Amino acid sequence: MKRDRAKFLQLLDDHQGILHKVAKLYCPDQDSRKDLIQDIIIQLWLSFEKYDPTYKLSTWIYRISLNVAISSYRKFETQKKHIDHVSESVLEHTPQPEHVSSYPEAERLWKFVSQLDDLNKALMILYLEGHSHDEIAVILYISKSNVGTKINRIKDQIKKELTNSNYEN
Amino acid sequence: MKTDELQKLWMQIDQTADDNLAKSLMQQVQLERSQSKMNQLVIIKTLNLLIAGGTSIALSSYAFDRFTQLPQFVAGTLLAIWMLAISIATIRELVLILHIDYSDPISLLQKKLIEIKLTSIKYLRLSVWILPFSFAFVVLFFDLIWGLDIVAAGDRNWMISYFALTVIVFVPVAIWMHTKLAPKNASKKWMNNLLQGNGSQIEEALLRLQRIEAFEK
Repeated sequence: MKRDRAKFLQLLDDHQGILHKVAKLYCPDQDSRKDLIQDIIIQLWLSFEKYDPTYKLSTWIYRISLNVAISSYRKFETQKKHIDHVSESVLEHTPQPEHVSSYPEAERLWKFVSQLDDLNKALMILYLEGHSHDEIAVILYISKSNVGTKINRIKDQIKKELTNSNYEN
Repeated sequence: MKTDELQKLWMQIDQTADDNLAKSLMQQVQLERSQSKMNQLVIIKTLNLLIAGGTSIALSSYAFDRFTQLPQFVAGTLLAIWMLAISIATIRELVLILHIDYSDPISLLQKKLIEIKLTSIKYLRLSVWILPFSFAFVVLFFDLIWGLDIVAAGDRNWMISYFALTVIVFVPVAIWMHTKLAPKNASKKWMNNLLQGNGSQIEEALLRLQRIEAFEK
Protein backbone atom coordinates (compact mmCIF):
# COMPACT_ATOMS: atom_id res chain seq x y z
CA MET A 1 0.00 0.00 0.00
CA LYS A 2 1.41 3.39 -1.03
CA ARG A 3 1.92 5.89 1.77
CA ASP A 4 -1.05 8.16 1.38
CA ARG A 5 -1.35 10.68 4.19
CA ALA A 6 -5.10 11.18 3.79
CA LYS A 7 -5.74 7.45 3.73
CA PHE A 8 -3.52 7.01 6.75
CA LEU A 9 -5.39 9.73 8.66
CA GLN A 10 -8.65 7.99 7.88
CA LEU A 11 -7.22 4.70 9.12
CA LEU A 12 -6.15 6.39 12.35
CA ASP A 13 -9.54 7.94 12.75
CA ASP A 14 -11.27 4.60 12.34
CA HIS A 15 -8.97 2.65 14.65
CA GLN A 16 -7.75 5.14 17.23
CA GLY A 17 -9.57 3.19 19.95
CA ILE A 18 -6.92 0.47 19.60
CA LEU A 19 -4.11 2.98 20.13
CA HIS A 20 -5.79 4.43 23.20
CA LYS A 21 -6.49 1.08 24.75
CA VAL A 22 -2.95 -0.21 24.26
CA ALA A 23 -1.42 3.06 25.44
CA LYS A 24 -3.60 3.25 28.55
CA LEU A 25 -2.78 -0.32 29.50
CA TYR A 26 0.95 -0.01 28.97
CA CYS A 27 1.53 3.51 30.12
CA PRO A 28 0.11 4.72 33.41
CA ASP A 29 1.21 8.32 33.10
CA GLN A 30 -0.97 10.50 30.88
CA ASP A 31 1.86 12.67 29.50
CA SER A 32 4.03 9.66 28.67
CA ARG A 33 0.99 8.06 27.10
CA LYS A 34 0.91 10.80 24.47
CA ASP A 35 4.53 9.97 23.66
CA LEU A 36 3.63 6.31 23.34
CA ILE A 37 0.71 7.06 21.03
CA GLN A 38 3.01 9.24 18.92
CA ASP A 39 5.57 6.41 18.75
CA ILE A 40 2.83 4.04 17.65
CA ILE A 41 1.60 6.49 14.99
CA ILE A 42 5.16 6.84 13.65
CA GLN A 43 5.63 3.07 13.41
CA LEU A 44 2.21 2.65 11.79
CA TRP A 45 3.19 5.27 9.23
CA LEU A 46 6.58 3.69 8.56
CA SER A 47 4.98 0.26 8.13
CA PHE A 48 1.96 1.51 6.19
CA GLU A 49 3.62 0.85 2.84
CA LYS A 50 4.21 -2.78 3.76
CA TYR A 51 0.67 -3.43 4.91
CA ASP A 52 -0.77 -6.50 3.25
CA PRO A 53 -4.52 -5.93 2.70
CA THR A 54 -5.21 -9.67 2.81
CA TYR A 55 -4.78 -9.39 6.59
CA LYS A 56 -7.28 -7.68 8.86
CA LEU A 57 -6.32 -4.04 9.35
CA SER A 58 -7.18 -4.08 13.05
CA THR A 59 -4.91 -7.11 13.59
CA TRP A 60 -2.06 -5.30 11.84
CA ILE A 61 -2.63 -2.21 14.01
CA TYR A 62 -2.73 -4.31 17.18
CA ARG A 63 0.49 -6.04 16.22
CA ILE A 64 2.36 -2.76 15.67
CA SER A 65 0.81 -1.00 18.67
CA LEU A 66 1.66 -3.86 21.02
CA ASN A 67 5.18 -4.19 19.65
CA VAL A 68 5.82 -0.47 20.16
CA ALA A 69 4.26 -0.50 23.63
CA ILE A 70 6.25 -3.54 24.75
CA SER A 71 9.54 -2.25 23.36
CA SER A 72 8.94 1.14 24.97
CA TYR A 73 8.10 -0.53 28.27
CA ARG A 74 11.49 0.22 29.82
CA LYS A 75 11.31 3.90 28.94
CA PHE A 76 7.88 4.26 30.50
CA GLU A 77 8.78 2.12 33.48
CA THR A 78 11.70 4.48 34.17
CA GLN A 79 9.37 7.44 33.92
CA LYS A 80 6.92 5.69 36.22
CA LYS A 81 9.67 5.11 38.78
CA HIS A 82 10.50 8.80 38.60
CA ILE A 83 6.87 9.74 39.18
CA ASP A 84 6.71 7.23 42.05
CA HIS A 85 9.72 8.86 43.57
CA VAL A 86 8.41 12.40 43.21
CA SER A 87 4.95 11.92 44.64
CA GLU A 88 4.52 8.42 45.86
CA SER A 89 1.61 9.16 48.12
CA VAL A 90 -0.31 11.34 45.70
CA LEU A 91 -0.47 9.37 42.49
CA GLU A 92 -2.30 6.18 41.76
CA HIS A 93 0.07 4.12 39.63
CA THR A 94 -2.29 1.57 38.24
CA PRO A 95 -3.56 2.74 34.88
CA GLN A 96 -7.20 3.56 35.29
CA PRO A 97 -9.81 3.46 32.58
CA GLU A 98 -10.83 7.07 32.86
CA HIS A 99 -14.53 6.69 32.13
CA VAL A 100 -15.61 3.31 33.38
CA SER A 101 -16.49 4.03 36.99
CA SER A 102 -20.12 3.29 36.13
CA TYR A 103 -19.05 -0.28 35.32
CA PRO A 104 -17.28 -1.49 38.48
CA GLU A 105 -16.76 -5.03 37.19
CA ALA A 106 -15.32 -3.74 33.94
CA GLU A 107 -13.07 -1.46 35.96
CA ARG A 108 -11.78 -4.41 37.99
CA LEU A 109 -11.19 -6.39 34.82
CA TRP A 110 -9.26 -3.47 33.36
CA LYS A 111 -7.20 -3.11 36.52
CA PHE A 112 -6.41 -6.81 36.53
CA VAL A 113 -5.30 -6.84 32.89
CA SER A 114 -3.20 -3.70 33.37
CA GLN A 115 -1.29 -5.41 36.17
CA LEU A 116 -0.27 -8.40 34.06
CA ASP A 117 3.26 -8.50 32.64
CA ASP A 118 3.72 -6.97 29.19
CA LEU A 119 3.37 -10.21 27.17
CA ASN A 120 0.41 -11.65 29.08
CA LYS A 121 -1.19 -8.22 28.84
CA ALA A 122 -0.84 -8.38 25.03
CA LEU A 123 -2.32 -11.88 25.06
CA MET A 124 -5.33 -10.78 27.10
CA ILE A 125 -5.96 -7.63 25.06
CA LEU A 126 -6.09 -9.72 21.90
CA TYR A 127 -8.32 -12.32 23.55
CA LEU A 128 -10.73 -9.78 24.99
CA GLU A 129 -10.86 -8.01 21.64
CA GLY A 130 -12.24 -11.21 20.16
CA HIS A 131 -9.23 -12.57 18.27
CA SER A 132 -9.21 -16.33 17.80
CA HIS A 133 -6.56 -18.53 19.43
CA ASP A 134 -5.08 -19.08 15.97
CA GLU A 135 -4.77 -15.35 15.34
CA ILE A 136 -3.29 -14.73 18.79
CA ALA A 137 -0.77 -17.53 18.25
CA VAL A 138 0.37 -15.93 14.99
CA ILE A 139 0.53 -12.41 16.44
CA LEU A 140 2.49 -13.48 19.52
CA TYR A 141 4.54 -16.18 17.77
CA ILE A 142 3.66 -18.91 20.27
CA SER A 143 1.81 -22.19 19.80
CA LYS A 144 -1.99 -22.33 19.76
CA SER A 145 -2.03 -24.76 22.70
CA ASN A 146 0.17 -22.36 24.65
CA VAL A 147 -2.33 -19.57 23.93
CA GLY A 148 -5.19 -21.72 25.24
CA THR A 149 -3.32 -22.74 28.40
CA LYS A 150 -2.28 -19.19 29.23
CA ILE A 151 -5.75 -17.76 28.60
CA ASN A 152 -7.41 -20.40 30.79
CA ARG A 153 -4.93 -19.75 33.58
CA ILE A 154 -5.51 -16.00 33.45
CA LYS A 155 -9.28 -16.44 33.18
CA ASP A 156 -9.21 -18.46 36.40
CA GLN A 157 -7.33 -15.63 38.08
CA ILE A 158 -9.83 -13.08 36.74
CA LYS A 159 -12.72 -15.18 38.02
CA LYS A 160 -11.14 -15.29 41.49
CA GLU A 161 -10.40 -11.59 41.38
CA LEU A 162 -13.96 -10.64 40.40
CA THR A 163 -15.50 -13.07 42.90
CA ASN A 164 -13.31 -11.73 45.72
CA SER A 165 -14.20 -8.16 44.81
CA ASN A 166 -17.90 -9.02 44.78
CA TYR A 167 -17.60 -10.47 48.29
CA GLU A 168 -15.69 -7.42 49.48
CA ASN A 169 -18.43 -5.18 48.19
CA MET B 1 -16.15 -17.20 33.47
CA LYS B 2 -17.25 -17.46 29.86
CA THR B 3 -15.43 -15.75 27.03
CA ASP B 4 -18.43 -13.73 25.89
CA GLU B 5 -19.07 -12.48 29.45
CA LEU B 6 -15.50 -11.23 29.71
CA GLN B 7 -15.60 -9.68 26.26
CA LYS B 8 -18.86 -7.96 27.13
CA LEU B 9 -17.24 -6.48 30.23
CA TRP B 10 -14.26 -5.43 28.12
CA MET B 11 -16.53 -3.76 25.58
CA GLN B 12 -17.96 -1.55 28.30
CA ILE B 13 -14.52 0.00 28.52
CA ASP B 14 -14.20 -0.01 24.77
CA GLN B 15 -17.23 2.22 24.25
CA THR B 16 -15.78 4.99 26.36
CA ALA B 17 -12.13 4.86 25.37
CA ASP B 18 -12.26 6.81 22.11
CA ASP B 19 -11.48 10.48 21.81
CA ASN B 20 -9.64 12.62 19.32
CA LEU B 21 -6.23 12.51 20.96
CA ALA B 22 -4.69 10.28 18.28
CA LYS B 23 -5.80 12.57 15.49
CA SER B 24 -4.56 15.70 17.22
CA LEU B 25 -1.24 13.99 17.99
CA MET B 26 -1.07 12.96 14.37
CA GLN B 27 -1.04 16.62 13.37
CA GLN B 28 1.98 17.20 15.62
CA VAL B 29 3.98 14.23 14.36
CA GLN B 30 6.29 15.11 11.52
CA LEU B 31 5.81 11.92 9.62
CA GLU B 32 8.29 12.74 6.90
CA ARG B 33 11.04 13.16 9.48
CA SER B 34 10.12 10.10 11.46
CA GLN B 35 12.50 7.83 9.61
CA SER B 36 15.56 10.04 10.16
CA LYS B 37 16.55 8.46 13.51
CA MET B 38 16.61 5.01 11.98
CA ASN B 39 18.46 6.30 8.92
CA GLN B 40 21.10 7.90 11.16
CA LEU B 41 21.75 4.57 12.87
CA VAL B 42 22.02 2.80 9.53
CA ILE B 43 24.45 5.46 8.26
CA ILE B 44 26.66 5.13 11.37
CA LYS B 45 26.72 1.34 11.11
CA THR B 46 27.43 1.50 7.36
CA LEU B 47 30.36 3.83 8.02
CA ASN B 48 31.65 1.40 10.69
CA LEU B 49 31.35 -1.40 8.17
CA LEU B 50 33.17 0.56 5.47
CA ILE B 51 36.02 1.38 7.86
CA ALA B 52 36.33 -2.18 9.22
CA GLY B 53 35.87 -3.80 5.81
CA GLY B 54 38.28 -1.37 4.14
CA THR B 55 40.92 -1.95 6.82
CA SER B 56 40.49 -5.71 6.46
CA ILE B 57 40.99 -5.47 2.68
CA ALA B 58 44.05 -3.19 3.11
CA LEU B 59 45.56 -5.62 5.65
CA SER B 60 44.87 -8.60 3.38
CA SER B 61 46.60 -6.79 0.54
CA TYR B 62 49.52 -5.97 2.87
CA ALA B 63 49.80 -9.64 3.87
CA PHE B 64 49.57 -10.79 0.24
CA ASP B 65 52.40 -8.41 -0.79
CA ARG B 66 54.62 -9.81 1.96
CA PHE B 67 53.93 -13.44 1.27
CA THR B 68 57.65 -14.29 1.51
CA GLN B 69 58.23 -12.32 4.73
CA LEU B 70 56.73 -14.64 7.29
CA PRO B 71 56.39 -12.29 10.34
CA GLN B 72 54.76 -9.51 8.28
CA PHE B 73 52.56 -11.98 6.42
CA VAL B 74 51.32 -13.58 9.66
CA ALA B 75 50.83 -10.19 11.36
CA GLY B 76 48.91 -8.80 8.38
CA THR B 77 46.77 -11.93 8.07
CA LEU B 78 45.90 -12.01 11.79
CA LEU B 79 44.88 -8.38 11.85
CA ALA B 80 42.94 -8.78 8.57
CA ILE B 81 41.00 -11.72 10.08
CA TRP B 82 40.31 -9.68 13.20
CA MET B 83 38.96 -6.76 11.17
CA LEU B 84 36.97 -9.22 9.05
CA ALA B 85 35.34 -10.59 12.24
CA ILE B 86 34.39 -7.02 13.22
CA SER B 87 33.01 -6.44 9.69
CA ILE B 88 30.92 -9.62 9.89
CA ALA B 89 29.54 -8.57 13.30
CA THR B 90 28.67 -5.16 11.85
CA ILE B 91 26.98 -6.72 8.80
CA ARG B 92 24.93 -8.91 11.11
CA GLU B 93 23.92 -5.89 13.18
CA LEU B 94 23.02 -3.93 10.03
CA VAL B 95 20.91 -6.81 8.71
CA LEU B 96 19.08 -6.98 12.05
CA ILE B 97 18.46 -3.22 12.06
CA LEU B 98 17.24 -3.23 8.46
CA HIS B 99 14.91 -6.14 9.17
CA ILE B 100 13.22 -4.49 12.13
CA ASP B 101 9.57 -4.57 11.26
CA TYR B 102 7.05 -3.62 13.90
CA SER B 103 4.40 -5.64 12.13
CA ASP B 104 6.37 -8.81 12.86
CA PRO B 105 5.00 -11.25 15.45
CA ILE B 106 5.58 -9.88 18.94
CA SER B 107 8.05 -12.42 20.43
CA LEU B 108 10.06 -12.40 17.22
CA LEU B 109 10.44 -8.63 17.04
CA GLN B 110 11.16 -8.24 20.74
CA LYS B 111 13.95 -10.82 20.48
CA LYS B 112 15.45 -8.98 17.50
CA LEU B 113 15.41 -5.70 19.43
CA ILE B 114 17.10 -7.38 22.39
CA GLU B 115 19.72 -8.94 20.12
CA ILE B 116 20.57 -5.49 18.73
CA LYS B 117 20.94 -4.20 22.28
CA LEU B 118 23.35 -7.04 23.11
CA THR B 119 25.65 -6.42 20.13
CA SER B 120 27.75 -3.88 22.06
CA ILE B 121 28.96 -6.76 24.24
CA LYS B 122 29.95 -8.73 21.13
CA TYR B 123 32.13 -5.81 20.00
CA LEU B 124 33.80 -5.64 23.41
CA ARG B 125 34.56 -9.36 23.25
CA LEU B 126 35.93 -9.03 19.73
CA SER B 127 38.28 -6.26 20.82
CA VAL B 128 39.66 -8.51 23.58
CA TRP B 129 40.49 -11.31 21.13
CA ILE B 130 43.36 -9.32 19.65
CA LEU B 131 45.21 -9.05 22.97
CA PRO B 132 47.19 -12.33 22.60
CA PHE B 133 48.13 -11.24 19.08
CA SER B 134 49.23 -7.74 20.05
CA PHE B 135 52.73 -8.46 18.70
CA ALA B 136 51.17 -8.32 15.23
CA PHE B 137 50.65 -4.57 15.79
CA VAL B 138 54.33 -4.20 16.75
CA VAL B 139 55.46 -6.02 13.59
CA LEU B 140 53.12 -3.97 11.41
CA PHE B 141 54.07 -0.68 13.08
CA PHE B 142 57.82 -1.13 12.57
CA ASP B 143 57.36 -2.31 9.00
CA LEU B 144 54.99 0.48 7.95
CA ILE B 145 56.80 3.35 9.72
CA TRP B 146 60.45 2.41 9.28
CA GLY B 147 60.30 -0.50 6.85
CA LEU B 148 62.00 -2.56 9.54
CA ASP B 149 61.55 -6.27 10.15
CA ILE B 150 61.42 -6.11 13.93
CA VAL B 151 61.56 -9.89 14.28
CA ALA B 152 64.90 -10.01 12.46
CA ALA B 153 66.32 -6.76 13.80
CA GLY B 154 64.86 -6.68 17.32
CA ASP B 155 66.63 -7.63 20.50
CA ARG B 156 66.18 -11.34 21.10
CA ASN B 157 65.75 -10.96 24.89
CA TRP B 158 63.09 -8.31 24.37
CA MET B 159 61.22 -10.59 22.00
CA ILE B 160 61.45 -13.55 24.35
CA SER B 161 60.18 -11.32 27.16
CA TYR B 162 57.28 -10.16 24.96
CA PHE B 163 56.45 -13.74 24.05
CA ALA B 164 56.55 -14.75 27.74
CA LEU B 165 54.39 -11.76 28.62
CA THR B 166 51.88 -12.82 25.96
CA VAL B 167 51.71 -16.41 27.21
CA ILE B 168 51.72 -15.59 30.93
CA VAL B 169 49.64 -12.41 30.93
CA PHE B 170 47.87 -11.55 27.66
CA VAL B 171 46.41 -14.98 26.86
CA PRO B 172 44.96 -15.60 30.36
CA VAL B 173 43.76 -11.98 30.57
CA ALA B 174 42.04 -12.30 27.16
CA ILE B 175 40.33 -15.57 28.18
CA TRP B 176 39.36 -14.10 31.56
CA MET B 177 38.03 -10.91 29.97
CA HIS B 178 36.12 -12.89 27.33
CA THR B 179 34.30 -14.84 30.03
CA LYS B 180 33.79 -11.75 32.20
CA LEU B 181 32.45 -9.71 29.29
CA ALA B 182 29.27 -11.71 29.42
CA PRO B 183 25.82 -10.13 29.23
CA LYS B 184 25.09 -11.37 32.78
CA ASN B 185 27.76 -8.97 34.12
CA ALA B 186 26.31 -5.96 32.31
CA SER B 187 25.11 -4.28 35.49
CA LYS B 188 28.54 -4.38 37.17
CA LYS B 189 30.18 -0.99 37.48
CA TRP B 190 33.30 -1.74 35.41
CA MET B 191 31.23 -3.31 32.65
CA ASN B 192 28.77 -0.44 32.75
CA ASN B 193 31.71 1.96 32.24
CA LEU B 194 32.96 -0.12 29.29
CA LEU B 195 29.46 -0.02 27.82
CA GLN B 196 29.35 3.76 28.26
CA GLY B 197 26.57 3.63 30.83
CA ASN B 198 24.37 1.18 28.92
CA GLY B 199 24.93 -1.69 31.36
CA SER B 200 21.55 -1.44 33.05
CA GLN B 201 19.79 -1.42 29.67
CA ILE B 202 21.59 -4.61 28.70
CA GLU B 203 20.75 -6.25 32.01
CA GLU B 204 17.12 -5.26 31.48
CA ALA B 205 17.27 -6.64 27.92
CA LEU B 206 18.52 -9.97 29.25
CA LEU B 207 15.75 -10.17 31.81
CA ARG B 208 13.25 -9.43 29.07
CA LEU B 209 14.76 -12.14 26.89
CA GLN B 210 14.36 -14.64 29.73
CA ARG B 211 10.75 -13.57 30.17
CA ILE B 212 10.02 -13.91 26.46
CA GLU B 213 11.58 -17.38 26.40
CA ALA B 214 9.55 -18.40 29.45
CA PHE B 215 6.42 -17.00 27.79
CA GLU B 216 7.06 -19.04 24.64
CA LYS B 217 7.19 -22.33 26.60
